[in-house]
Amino acid sequence: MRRFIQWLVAVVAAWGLGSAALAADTKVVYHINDSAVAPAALNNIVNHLNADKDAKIVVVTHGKGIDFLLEGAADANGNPFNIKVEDLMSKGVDFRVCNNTLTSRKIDPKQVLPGAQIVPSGVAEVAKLQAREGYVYVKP
Amino acid sequence: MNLKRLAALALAATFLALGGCATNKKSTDPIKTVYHINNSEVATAALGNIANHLKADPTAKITVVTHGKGIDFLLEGAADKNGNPYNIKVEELMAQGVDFRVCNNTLTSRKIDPKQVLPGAQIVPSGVAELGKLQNLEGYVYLKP
Repeated sequence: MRRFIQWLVAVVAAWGLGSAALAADTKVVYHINDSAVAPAALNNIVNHLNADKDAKIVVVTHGKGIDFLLEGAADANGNPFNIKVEDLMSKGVDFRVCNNTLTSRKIDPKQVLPGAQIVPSGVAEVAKLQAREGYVYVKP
Repeated sequence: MNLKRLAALALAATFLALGGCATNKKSTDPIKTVYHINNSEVATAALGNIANHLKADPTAKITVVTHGKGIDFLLEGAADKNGNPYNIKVEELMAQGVDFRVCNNTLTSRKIDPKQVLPGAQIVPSGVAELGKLQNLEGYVYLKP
């Protein structure tokens, strides 16, 4: 009995430590459904990583929010988005694009920047990341 | 450490672990999402998002919480900028299990008769408190269309 209890305490302690270790890195989903906020959002993410270099950031886009991830896209001042996007990708940021949007807006998937991932549904992705993968939500 | 203290410690640790477990949703539980709408201009897109969400994840539980200017599309006779009535799409989604909730503080401050709210939509005391409660106490995740 005593051995069993010692074993139980050890298992539970290990479990607790494991959970604490998992909680160390913050995972954040940035939800973008309007590319008008994209320049600000990309800066937010740069600042976010400057403040917390271990943060895992996934950007999920749908609707009008996918436009800045298409080939040749530029902001209101004519600056191409892809330079900043690729810079963030090299820092480990994931960019995801909603396939429902590509279909309904009749956009060729080949127009999506290389490195950005196409997912079946942007909103379902936002929910799944939070519910299943421990992400927290930011809407820039 | 004597046996009794060890046993008590093990029991306490087990309860703590089980408590932690209860807040971690099982990976097979349906995903619950609250859609937050405080501006009816996004209502058309949001209703489309929800239809797509349910197609991608048919077991998803979706609750739409509205307040401020976000309640307008849930009032009798409301139509989008092309004149299409909202109630058809809303009722379709209700039939698929989507809940719509309307903030009573908004009804009061905007002097809107609760009878104007679409049948089937539920009036809650506070929209923002509802958002907090669904996430904190009912395991919902958040999405703002």
